[in-house]
Amino acid sequence: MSGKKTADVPVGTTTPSNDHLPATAPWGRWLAKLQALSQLAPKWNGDDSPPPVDIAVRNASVFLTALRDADLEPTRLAASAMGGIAVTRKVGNHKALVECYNDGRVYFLFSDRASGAMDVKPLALDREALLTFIASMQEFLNG
Amino acid sequence: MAEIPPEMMTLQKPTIPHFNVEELLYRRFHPDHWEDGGVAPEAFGLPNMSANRSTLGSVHWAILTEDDAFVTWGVAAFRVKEIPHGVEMMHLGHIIFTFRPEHVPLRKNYPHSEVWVYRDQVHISHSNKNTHLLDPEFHLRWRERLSQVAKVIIQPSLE
Repeated sequence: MSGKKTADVPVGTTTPSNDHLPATAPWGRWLAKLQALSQLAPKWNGDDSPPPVDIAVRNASVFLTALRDADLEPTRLAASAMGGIAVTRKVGNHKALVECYNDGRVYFLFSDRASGAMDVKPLALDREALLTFIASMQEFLNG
Repeated sequence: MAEIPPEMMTLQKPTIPHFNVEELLYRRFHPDHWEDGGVAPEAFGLPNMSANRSTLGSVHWAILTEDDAFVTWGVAAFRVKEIPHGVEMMHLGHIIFTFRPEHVPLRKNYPHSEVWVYRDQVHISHSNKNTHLLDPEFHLRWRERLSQVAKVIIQPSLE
């Protein structure tokens, strides 16, 4: 899980497509949501928050594909006021959030709402790093 | 089309720089940011995060605009001391972040304020072209903590 930007990672298309996620329930719902987020206009929240750009949408699509392959649905998918897209999976008081920023960086947060403990680190989106991350995410969420 | 009440207009009213640490700040949030009865960290953004001052207007003004763009949104509240105000926050052992609320009245929203962030006393803002100084390892923790202490005052309309 290096701090390297993910913009140079070959991930296929630049927009969410059926190459990454099949348009069948329930994953079709997340694809449709991602497509809707990619269409947000500037000042979508009334502030200076930029709408998600292609690289953020593409990185979110890569992460969603990894979740799909692991048969782990997100609990939320949303635009971030920081500029980008956030993918959340929450189990009880344990939350894993992956935020894909408009500058191509991707960071994850593990948060235990019961204890207040948090861990934040950069996330690379190559296959090996994603497999390692999803295993650690599952361990955290189910711990 | 909603009407902006006259008392919400800035007109000749002064900027009030002093914030009591107990004052509530109201932050509107998208329905997507509703999470288990609370507000998600994605609702909070830096730099210069907008929020309305509770001492200068109604909580409902946070989602009141003439074009009704935010009528389905929610509003969360947090106290000035929870930003926190006047506290140096050490990051990576050598970087100091500080926060400060600023009253920034808009013509049609007098209570409008912003949460300003400084890194080693340098104000980070879009106009200063230095938003790269905002380390995600810092702001993601800050936003998650704020989401944990913020209370939802107005629930968003969920479809």
